[in-house]
Amino acid sequence: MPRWGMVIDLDKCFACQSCTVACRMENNTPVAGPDQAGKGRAILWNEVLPFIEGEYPRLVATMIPRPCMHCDYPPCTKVCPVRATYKNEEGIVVVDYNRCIGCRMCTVACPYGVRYFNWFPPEWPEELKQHLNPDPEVAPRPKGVVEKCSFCIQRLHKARQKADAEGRAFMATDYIPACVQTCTGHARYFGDLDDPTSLVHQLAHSPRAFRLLEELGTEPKVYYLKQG
Amino acid sequence: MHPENKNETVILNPLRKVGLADKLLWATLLGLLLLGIGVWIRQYVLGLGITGLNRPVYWGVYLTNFVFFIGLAHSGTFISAILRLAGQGWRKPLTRAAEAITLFSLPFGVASILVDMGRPDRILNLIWFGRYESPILWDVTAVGLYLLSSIVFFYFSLIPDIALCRDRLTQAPGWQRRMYTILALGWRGTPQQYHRLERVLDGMAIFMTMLVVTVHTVVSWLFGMTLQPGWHTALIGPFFLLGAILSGTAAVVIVLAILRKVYRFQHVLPVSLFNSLRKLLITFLLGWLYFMIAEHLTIGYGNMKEEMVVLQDKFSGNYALIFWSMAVLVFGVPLLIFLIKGKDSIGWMVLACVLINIGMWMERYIVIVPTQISPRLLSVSGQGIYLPTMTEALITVACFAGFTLLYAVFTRYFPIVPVWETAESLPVGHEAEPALQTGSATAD
Amino acid sequence: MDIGNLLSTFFKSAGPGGALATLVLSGALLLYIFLARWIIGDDQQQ
Repeated sequence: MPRWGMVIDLDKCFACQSCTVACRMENNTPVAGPDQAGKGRAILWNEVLPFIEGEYPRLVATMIPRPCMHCDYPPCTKVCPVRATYKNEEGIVVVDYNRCIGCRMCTVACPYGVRYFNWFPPEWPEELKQHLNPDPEVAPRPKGVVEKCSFCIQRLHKARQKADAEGRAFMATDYIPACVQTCTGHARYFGDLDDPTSLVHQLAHSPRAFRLLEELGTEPKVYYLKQG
Repeated sequence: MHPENKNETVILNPLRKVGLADKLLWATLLGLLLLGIGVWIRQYVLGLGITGLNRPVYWGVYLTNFVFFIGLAHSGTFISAILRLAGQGWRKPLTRAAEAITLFSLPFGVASILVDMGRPDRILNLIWFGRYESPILWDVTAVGLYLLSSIVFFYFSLIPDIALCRDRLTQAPGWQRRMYTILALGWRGTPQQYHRLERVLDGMAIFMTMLVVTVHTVVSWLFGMTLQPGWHTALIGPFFLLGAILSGTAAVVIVLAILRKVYRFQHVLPVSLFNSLRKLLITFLLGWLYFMIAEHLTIGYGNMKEEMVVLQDKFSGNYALIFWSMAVLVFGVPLLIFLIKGKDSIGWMVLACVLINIGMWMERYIVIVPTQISPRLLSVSGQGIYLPTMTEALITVACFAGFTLLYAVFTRYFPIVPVWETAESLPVGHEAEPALQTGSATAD
Repeated sequence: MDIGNLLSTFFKSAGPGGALATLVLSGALLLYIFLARWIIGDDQQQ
C-alpha cells in the first residue's frame, strides 16, 4: 500500500499560484467573489501563504504553498463525531460530504487551516460554470459541509481504473494531483513516501527538508525544501 | 394528606390568576422567540454565510451562547443537589426557582448547537455514526443525560406540590386541573411516599453533582482537546466549571429578587437567603480570580510564542477592551458591591449579579474568539476578524426571550417555591428538618 | 483477544459511539420511570 506524500521545493516555487488555480479547476471549488473573500470566506484548497519577516527594505519573504498536510496523526479526523472525515488506508485524509454535519470542529482543530466550510451554496461566474470538472467524484459540495484538499483522490481512482483497463499493474507514477502537474517551476514532487527508490522519499530525507509545525507531532506528509 | 405550610396561600397565589400584564409579557417574549426561529430558518435556507462567522473564526456567538446557557443551568443543580448533600437547610425555599433555571436554560444551550450546525438536518448522524473519539459525542452524552436527569429531578420534587394544586386549585380551568391530575401521578402524600421521595432525591443529588462536574468539563473540552493556543490547557475544565457555577448562582439571585417583588414573596423568600447566596458568591468570585491568575500567569511567564499571540491580543490587543471590562464586570465591581453594599440589600445584590452574568458571557466569548482570530499559520498574513451580524444578535435575543418565557409561564401554573419542602411539618412519621423552620438559621 | 485493539476500534469507528450514547440515555430513562413508579408506590399492599 503506498503512502502518498508531496515535496515542495521553495527554491523553485515563485508563488505564481497556478497550483491554486489548477486545484480550483480540478476540484470544482466555488468562487467566493471579492466581497466574501474579503470576509475570509474564499475556498482555496491550495493556498499560497506569505510569511513576511521584517520591514521594507529589509524584509525576508517566504511564500509557502499550502495544500492539506495529510498528517499521519491528523488532529481533524480525531474530533469528527460521525467519521465524515478520516484518513484512508493510503494515508489520504478525505471528507464524506454526504455525512458531514457541519459542526466545524475539524476546521477549528486543524492547526494548518486547510479545511474550508461552505458558508453558502456553491457559485461560479457563468463563464466558469461551463468548464466545471464533470467528474461526479468532485461534484460541487452543498452548503453547510466542510471540504478540503484530497490530493485529487479522483485522479488516483481514475489512474487505477486506467491501469486495470490496460491490463497492467498500477504504478505510483501513474497518479499525480493537479497542482503537481501544473506547477510552473516544477517545484512539486509527488509519490509514495514508503518507496525508498521514489524521488519524494529521497527528497523528504534531504537535509533541506522540513515540515510545517513539526513540533505538534502531527507528522505531515507534505515536505518542504528550504529556501536558499 | 398535605403538608402544613403557613405560607401556602401566598405561594399558590400567583397560580390563581393570569393577568393582562402576564399575557402582554408572554406575547412579547413569544414574538421575540418566533422572530429568532424565523431568522434561524432564513439562515438554514441561505447558509451560515449570513452570520459573521468566517475563516478562521468558525465558532462565534452561537458557541458562546451554548457555553453560557449550559453554565447558567448549573445554578439549579448546584443549589438543590450540592447544597442538599451538604445539608444546607436554608436552600429549601429557593431550590425550585433555581432548578427551573437549569431546566429552562438547558434547551437553549442545546438549541445553540443546532443553530451553529451547517447541516442540522443530519443531526441523527450522531446516532447512526457517532464515535467516542470525538469530544462532541462526549457532549452529546453528558448534556443529554444532564437534560434528562434535571427534568426528572425537577419533576420528582414537584409531584407533591402538583398534587396540592390538584386538590386546592378547584377553581382553575378544566384543562389545568386535568394537567395537575395527570402530572400528580395519583400522589396521596402518605408518609411512605414522602420517605421514598426523599430517598430518591438524595440518591439523585449525588448523581447530579457528578453530572454537573462532568457536563461543564466536557463542554470546555470541545476547546481544550484541540491543539490551539489558549485552549489547550488542563485548567480549562475546572475554569469553565467554576465560571458556570458563578454565573448560575448569580442568576438565582436575579430570579429570586424578581419573584419576590412580582409575586409578593417577601416572607417566603427572606433577605437572609440573599445573604447566604452573597457568601457563596464571594467564595466563587475569589475562586474565579484564583483560576484567572493561575491560567494567565502560567502562560505569560512561560512566554511561549504561540500562546503569547493570544494572550497579548487579550491583554493589550484587539480584545483588550472586552477582556478588561469583563474583569471589572465579573470580579471588580461585584466584589466591592458584595463586600460593602450587598448585605441585606437586594437591589445591590441584583446589580452585582447582572454585572456578573454580562461579564461571564463576555468571558466565554473572550475564550472562544481570540484563539481563532490568530491561528498559527494564518496570523503571519494578518489576523482574522469576527463581527457578529444581526442574525446572531436576533437568535441570541430569542434564546434569552425563550428562557424568560418558559420561566414566566411556569411560575403561573406551578408553585415556584416548594410548598412541601418548606412546610412546618409533613404528614406523620416524617419530621421536617429544624433548620428550615426559621428560614434564617444561617443568616447573619 | 486484543483488548487494546477492541477499545481503539470502539472509539474510532463510526456507530458504536452513537449506540452507547443511545443506550446510556434510554437506560437512564427506564431507570427514572422505574423510580417514579417506586416513589408513588402501592401502599395498599403494605
